Formats: sequence, C-alpha cells, structure tokens
Amino acid sequence: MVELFWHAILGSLKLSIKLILIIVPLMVIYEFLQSSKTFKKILDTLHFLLKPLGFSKHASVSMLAGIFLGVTYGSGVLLAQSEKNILTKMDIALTAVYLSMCHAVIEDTLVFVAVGGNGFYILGTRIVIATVVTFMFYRYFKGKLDKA
Amino acid sequence: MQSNFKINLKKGLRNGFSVSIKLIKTIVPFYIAIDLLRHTQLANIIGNLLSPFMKPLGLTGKMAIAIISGYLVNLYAAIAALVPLNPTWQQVTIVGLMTGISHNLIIEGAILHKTGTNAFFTIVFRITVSIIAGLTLAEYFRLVYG
Repeated sequence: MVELFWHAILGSLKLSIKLILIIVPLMVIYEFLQSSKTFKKILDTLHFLLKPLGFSKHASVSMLAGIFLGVTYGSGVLLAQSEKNILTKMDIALTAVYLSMCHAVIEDTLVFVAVGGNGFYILGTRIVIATVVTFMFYRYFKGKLDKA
Repeated sequence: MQSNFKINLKKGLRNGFSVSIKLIKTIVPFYIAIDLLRHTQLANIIGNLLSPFMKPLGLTGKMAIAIISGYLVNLYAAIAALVPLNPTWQQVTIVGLMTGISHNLIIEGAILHKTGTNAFFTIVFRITVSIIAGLTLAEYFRLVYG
C-alpha cells in the first residue's frame, strides 16, 4: 500500500518537472519575442493570413496573444481593444470563434509532446479545423452583421 | 539593451513560475488519484461502462476520465489522468487534440461570455468540434497505422 502511494507521488512529481522544463523556457522566449522587431513582422504576416477569413487589421494583436498565450490572456487584449472601438463586430465574433478552438497552441502542443504525443497532428488538426469553422461562420455572419 | 534583456528574462521567468505552480497544483492530485484508482475495481467498472463510447476514438474506457478531466478542468488534469494508464502515442495525440480544442469549459466559457458570446453555445460547440476532430484523427490513424 505504501509502495503504491510512493509510486504515485513520485510519478506525479516526475511529470510536473518534465512539464515545467518546457513551460518556463517557452514563457521566457515569448517575452523576448514580444519586445523584438520581429514581432511586427509576425503581426503583418498574421494579418495577411487572416484577411481572407474576414478579420480586420486590428484583430491581429488579440489573435496573436490568444493563439500563443491562451484565451484568458487573448480575451483580455480583446476586451481592451473592443472598449477602444477599433474592432468591428465581425472581428469580435470571429476572434471568439477562432480562439475558442485554437488558443495557447504552443504550450498545449508541447506538453502533450512531452508525454509522447505527436505535435504535428495535434497542432495541424487544430489549425485546420479552427480555420475551416471560422470561415463557415464568416460566410454565415456576413449578411447578418452588416444589417445590424 | 542590457536592461531590456533583464526585464524580459524576469517577466518570462515570473510567468513561467506562476504557470508552474498552477501546473503542480493540478498534476499532483490528479495523477495520484488516477494512479491509485486504476488498481481498484471501480476503475474497471467505469472502464467497461465507457469502453464502447471510447472505442471509435481509439481509446480505452478508462481514458474517458482523462477527457472529462480535461473538459472540466484543464490540460494538465487530462495529462495527469492519462499518463498512469500507459497510453500509446496515438492515444496521447487524440487526447491532446480533443482536450486542446475543448478544455476548462466552465471558466473559459465565462470569460468568452464577457466578450458577448453565449457561454452555453461555446461549450456545446467546443465539445462537438472536439469529438468530430477526435473521431477524424482516430479514423486516420486506423487507416495509416492500423
């Protein structure tokens, strides 16, 4: 009985350490990236990719934060920007749809890779599905939001 | 430049540290609970009961606990519940995909609700999308890897 407990505690600690070794460097890399000149280039590229899905230029910042950091942070940026009135109704609706399926993807993917999953399938499938569904919503919202 | 380096490093480490704390708080109790539970008769009953639903996803019945933990709590709970069950890489990938799309539903639903999206809708929507995604990838794995 004691042995079972010991085994469980040891296993849980091993797993925690493994995941921490991935998370901490990732957070540090993100901070450096965010304050670098490359950041603007990434935003421009993202805008280029998101335009066909119906997003305006201003949506890129909250989308980037959401995709990399998670919906909690992404929504924070989204809320701040929606209060400034620079996002269109379409931006807010589409960002919510996309980010509800596809956020914090780097962290999410890496933690599952650490325990033996295949990152290519996890990330690839998520991006494809989120993109297809968002496009479907865009087509659906297009007529409705213009009238509102 | 030098001070920027320090600020970035500090901020990154601080964020990493706070995520790590959250991670340990979830991983340790879930992992221990599942690792102990899997030796009991209860785990077999749950496993047998859910196994027909998990089969199309390429998962065992007990792995339903990992999916449900992920849906309700977070990915770390899903990982902690999955790892003691000795999953194959395909099973880890399927659970990673499904809980990646749909996790922490109660809290995140509430947050998305604040941006004007209907919480009930997002919860049903994410679960549906995650199941479709899981079934698709499982079918693909069966075709390619047998």
